[in-house]
Amino acid sequence: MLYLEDYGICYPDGLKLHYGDIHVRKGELAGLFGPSGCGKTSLLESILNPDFPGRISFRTALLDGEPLPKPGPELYRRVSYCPQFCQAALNPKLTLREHIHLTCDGNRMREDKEEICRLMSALHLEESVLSRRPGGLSGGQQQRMVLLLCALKKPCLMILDEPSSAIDLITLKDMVFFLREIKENGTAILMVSHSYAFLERAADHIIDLREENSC
Amino acid sequence: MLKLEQIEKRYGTIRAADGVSLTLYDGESLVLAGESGSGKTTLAKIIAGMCRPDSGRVLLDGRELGAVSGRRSFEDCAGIQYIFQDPYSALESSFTVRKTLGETARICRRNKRPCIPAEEALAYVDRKLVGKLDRQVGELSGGQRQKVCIARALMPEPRLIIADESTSMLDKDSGKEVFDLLNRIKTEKGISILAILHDVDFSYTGWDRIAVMWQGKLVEQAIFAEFPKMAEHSYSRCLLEAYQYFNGRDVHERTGKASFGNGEGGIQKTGAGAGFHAE
Repeated sequence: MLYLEDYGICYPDGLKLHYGDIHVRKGELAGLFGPSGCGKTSLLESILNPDFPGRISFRTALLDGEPLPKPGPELYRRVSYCPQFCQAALNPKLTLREHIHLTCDGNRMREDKEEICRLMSALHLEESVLSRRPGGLSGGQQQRMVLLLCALKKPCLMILDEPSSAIDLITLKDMVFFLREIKENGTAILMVSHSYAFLERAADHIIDLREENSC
Repeated sequence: MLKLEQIEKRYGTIRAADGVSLTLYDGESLVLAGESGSGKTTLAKIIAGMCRPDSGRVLLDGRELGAVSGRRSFEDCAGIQYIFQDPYSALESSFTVRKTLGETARICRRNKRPCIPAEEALAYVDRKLVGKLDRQVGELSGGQRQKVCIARALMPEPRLIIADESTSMLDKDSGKEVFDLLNRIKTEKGISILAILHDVDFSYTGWDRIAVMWQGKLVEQAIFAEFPKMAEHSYSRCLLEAYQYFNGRDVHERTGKASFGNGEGGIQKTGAGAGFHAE
């Protein structure tokens, strides 16, 4: 689904990051692991951020067999993204129900109440949270809400940046099963995490960036 | 000694704190564990005076503390320091480390409170950071920023430091460094530490005690090292099982699986829960 060959980034200050080959097949979860500062989020930003300041180099960059689109509407239609600081992904003035309306409307999808309930249950989100605004949720609830919105889009690729950072161990264990369900629906997942234990359980393969970039 | 007596806090229909009583002794480290939305941060903010309880009392050495906006003195405010989860928003990226810590020194001077010099506090936390005093905070990693936050918290020589999920945005090695530092502060300076964690490493031996919150209630308290053997509440047992699932270590010596949940280790919600509420 996502195929990057000999992928690298060069920042204006001369800092170079090399990632080698990154391959995430349909229905597969690839984990990106490494300590702070080794370039995990930089890789994601280089794919998603239209204002990314660095220069990108690669031999091949494909999404679902076609050239990887530049950051823009076409890319965002096919890829969903859960950022590390998920508060930025939610509009503080909208209720969560309104977020769901927007997500379905923006992707020309019919709102499937059964699917929404199923995803909420899998993520331990109760119906009562739908009428709240993001400020009325804990950090972990906000993170799960963004995951729900990502999954609702049924993207071909889901990119998750530290989805476990605000979630307790019990919910994290259920998230492993939730991610397996997402994969079974054919979505490819690229997930950054500094928790090797979580990646070992959730990922089909782990890309260890410590081997590529010394930090 | 810090004591909470029957703390109650509601946000609408949600009970974020439901009759919570807790004692934190001088010079001890207490982990406050629980799922997100269980009321941990609400309780921490009540202790720090950032939030007023609906009823109940916060007592320091037998003396009742008010909220910061009400009756709490500067001395009591400075005596309880708070380290936030997100080191990226807790500090101004464009300030230098020196300017950041200088703000704390200025506030202490204005209120005539003794204060450890910035360089000394920073050296205590991490000698290597002293060389970065004149670097902008924005140039530091998450772990380094969190250490600057800890240095800032140390400067007014507090009685208690509340670390609210202070390692959740850090990698494991950086997180362990922060925990080791907090426990060194406890041991060497006699400052109590209240660490709020949703992801507890039961193999870490630095903590003294653990208290578990669930749906606004304090459901369990134990000596940290004995928790795996002593834990009785269903949430606690599920937490230990989840730890074992990810870490492959048998920390749960009871026979039989926890019966709470959906059989896969998850928790069934029985009500609205203690969801976080806007203040």
